Amino acid sequence: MPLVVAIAMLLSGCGSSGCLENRTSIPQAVFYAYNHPSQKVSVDSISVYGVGQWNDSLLLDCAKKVTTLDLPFRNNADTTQYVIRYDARALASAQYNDTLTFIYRRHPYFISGDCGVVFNYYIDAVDYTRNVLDSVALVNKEVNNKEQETLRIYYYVAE
Amino acid sequence: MWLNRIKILAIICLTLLSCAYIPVAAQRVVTPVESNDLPLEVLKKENDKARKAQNDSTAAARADSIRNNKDTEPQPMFEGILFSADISSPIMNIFGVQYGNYEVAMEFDLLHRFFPVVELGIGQANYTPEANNYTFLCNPSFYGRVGLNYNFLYKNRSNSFITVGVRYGLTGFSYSWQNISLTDPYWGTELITNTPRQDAFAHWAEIVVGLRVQVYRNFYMGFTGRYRILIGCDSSDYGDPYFIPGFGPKGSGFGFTYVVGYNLPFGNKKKEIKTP
Repeated sequence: MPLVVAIAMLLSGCGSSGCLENRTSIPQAVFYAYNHPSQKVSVDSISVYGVGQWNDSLLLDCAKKVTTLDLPFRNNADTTQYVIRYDARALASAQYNDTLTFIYRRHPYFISGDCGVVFNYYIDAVDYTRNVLDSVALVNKEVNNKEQETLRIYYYVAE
Repeated sequence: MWLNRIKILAIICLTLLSCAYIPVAAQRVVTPVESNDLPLEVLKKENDKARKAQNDSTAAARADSIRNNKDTEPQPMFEGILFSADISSPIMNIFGVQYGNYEVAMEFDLLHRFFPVVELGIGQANYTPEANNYTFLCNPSFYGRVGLNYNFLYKNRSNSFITVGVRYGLTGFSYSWQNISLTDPYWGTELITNTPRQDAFAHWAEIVVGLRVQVYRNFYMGFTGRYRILIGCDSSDYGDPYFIPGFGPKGSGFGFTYVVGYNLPFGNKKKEIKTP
């Protein structure tokens, strides 16, 4: 009987090795040069915030040399909006802000016993303004806990 | 002169007579068989007697040999049935494991060497891990396994076994995730949700190593270590099931069962049973 108890305790501990994966599913936007579509670029002096965020907190606050943006979706709604504010003096007006609107479906997804359940998303559409940015391309409609590019935001880069 | 001639003649005659008489006398003395002189009917009777005696002795010898072989008669093919129940899951439930397989098994003892096995059970899970955000619910579902054990101790006719075997198992079951708690630090949302019930079919193979010891008369206890290989399992949009009835947690290939059982012997096994 002690052997059985020992094995039982040993096996009950199996599977608690810890989670080695992301425990969130967040779409990732990457900045590209419109005139050199394969070239990634960094953007200076931008702030990003979600529309309807409860305490108006910023996702990015006048950040420098930004190459990627993680844009978490609202898990209690099917639409999420983000505003990119350009803080450079020449563009420091609300009229130059760009807005990204994501329309998506969401469903819980079980990763593993240790990592638990996340929300995965399927993006149906992306709308955007073109005040400063040139265009947006959706490269991955599935958003899951894997590190992958979801969206490309193109800016025209002066030669 | 005449007298001498008569004497010599008499001696020669006696010598010739004696030579003629001795073979006849010798033949009568050294030849006991009088068959040549017996009538045919008598000869037949004597031959019949001799043949009968020979047949009787062969039959007797055969009867003796049958009597002797009763102790070493050929082993019966089917020697009994072993019934057992797995009590490892109830024990593990006491220690906090929130899922389990509750099963009974029937093994057929063939030559004390091969044991075809049928295992039937019900698996269920209501698993809420600590420091995680879900409850995995698997409704009680039937599963079955069939396979074969090979007993390495078949030669010593012991009722304790060391076995190695294989199994094929399958189940149809339903599952869902309940009380999924999802928080988002940026949006400040906290959501509790459930997934709809999912139905699935799974099948797998197992390699089984077992040890079984007779504890009292025909009662025994034992345990088996199992390595399971999942052949197939239906997935869903919500992910793969955490627990599969009969298989156990999906990510874990190893498992074990602890069994108590009863051996129902068939035929006279008194001479065969040895206590360990």
